[in-house]
Amino acid sequence: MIESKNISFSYGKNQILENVNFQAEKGSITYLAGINGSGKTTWIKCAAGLLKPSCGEVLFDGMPFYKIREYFAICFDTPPVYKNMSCIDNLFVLYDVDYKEDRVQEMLEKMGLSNYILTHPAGKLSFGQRHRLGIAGAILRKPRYLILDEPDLGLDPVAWESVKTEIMDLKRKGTAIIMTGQNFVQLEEVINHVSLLSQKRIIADMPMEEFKQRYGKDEEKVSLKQAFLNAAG
Amino acid sequence: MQRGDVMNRCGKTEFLIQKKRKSMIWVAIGAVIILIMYGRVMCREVTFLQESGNMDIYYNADFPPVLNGLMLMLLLIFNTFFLFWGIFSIKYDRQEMCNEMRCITFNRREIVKYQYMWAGIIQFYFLLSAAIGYVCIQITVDKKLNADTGFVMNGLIFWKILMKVVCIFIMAFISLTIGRIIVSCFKNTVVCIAIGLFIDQVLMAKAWLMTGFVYRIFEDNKCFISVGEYTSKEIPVPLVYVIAIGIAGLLFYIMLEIGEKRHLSGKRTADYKGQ
Repeated sequence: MIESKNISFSYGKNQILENVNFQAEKGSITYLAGINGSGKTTWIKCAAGLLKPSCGEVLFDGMPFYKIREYFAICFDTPPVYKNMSCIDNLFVLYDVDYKEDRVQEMLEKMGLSNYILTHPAGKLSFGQRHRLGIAGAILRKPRYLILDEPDLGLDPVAWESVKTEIMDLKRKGTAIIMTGQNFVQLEEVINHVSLLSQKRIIADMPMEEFKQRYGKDEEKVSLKQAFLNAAG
Repeated sequence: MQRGDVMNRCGKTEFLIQKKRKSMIWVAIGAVIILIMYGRVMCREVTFLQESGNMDIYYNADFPPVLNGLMLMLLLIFNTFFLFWGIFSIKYDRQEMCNEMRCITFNRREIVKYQYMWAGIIQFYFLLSAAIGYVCIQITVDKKLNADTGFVMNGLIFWKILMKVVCIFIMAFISLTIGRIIVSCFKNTVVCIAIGLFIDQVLMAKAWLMTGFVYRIFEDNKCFISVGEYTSKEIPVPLVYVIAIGIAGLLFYIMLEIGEKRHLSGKRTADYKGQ
């Protein structure tokens, strides 16, 4: 379980997060929702130990980040790469993933990253390929805690299907997953919990169906997007 | 993935990154070539001056001045080279938040440790390459020089060389750390280079530590070569080493405690204390 306990953070005098509380259970996918600039990425950086919150902490099964580092994986919205290194080297250096393992090669093949692409410098990848590499790197770490910042970004439907399959597989194995993103149609296929970040706080934290019902304004078949618009608006 | 050997992997990843800094390797090779060329010219000039009767060399402790010249050049070149190595190595690591990603995957202290470890190995490698290259070229010239001056190599010379190499190594380490601190404090590359040059030329080159080392290098012969005066002749030589190592340690501590915190997206790191 990933637990955000009273996280507050500010850049100078600009307060971004204020007592952010929510939980992401094991074997579930939590959608950390929010409009642009609501502080989602800042929260992710706090969770990953890159920023120190002014108060509060993010716990992973009751433990701080540095104790569970090897069971944690993350994919940023723009995955970093060393441009003059091959994709294989990038996977090793950034995600601690060894290409020699059979399962790694199989998975990369499934993600549409052929051997040809992988041996070339990462700087030559398209945005979509780079994103696939980042997601593959995160998933291949076999994490217990996974954070995906806009995983649908730049992915074609075929690549998204592969990513979705892998994410659902991790979910079945009990990984606690937190996702952000703006493609509601694709997200609705995988998530089962929504935590809505608005005006520095979590204003809604509930299962997706409940979220849709509560913010659906009594409509019979309300979409996640409509519920989000109603809640965030 | 085997979880147990993550830290060994951290060292391997650092090696991969160091290996990819091709531009710096070329700069290093260039520096060594310049050094060798300088050595050849210097030796030719010394030989000419001796043969023309315009220069006399007296040895105090069986130590050839050409070797001292090499040591001085190494000291100067390494001082500058590793200052900029420190700056550019961090710049390379920072591209597109790669440093942040690595700090998530690996323990940050381990990363810093291996960065220094590999930098140390590279320092040693360049030092050795330069020395071997230089010695190979000098063999024939030295034979003549030695015949003229009556220089006889004895066992003590290796100890003396070792002590001089230690001076160079410490200075290179200090320069590397200063470079890393500069780039951790200032994100703009041009500003970093400007400050690096300033520190290199004004503060480092003229510092008492540097002149102390220059004195140490030249103390065992009585050539009339103009070098900076040893700051205080009261200070015993071993104390210079102790102080230098102390400064190196202090800089390393500053690097860990202050510099590296800023290295991570300019903010404090959450898990720093816990590591």
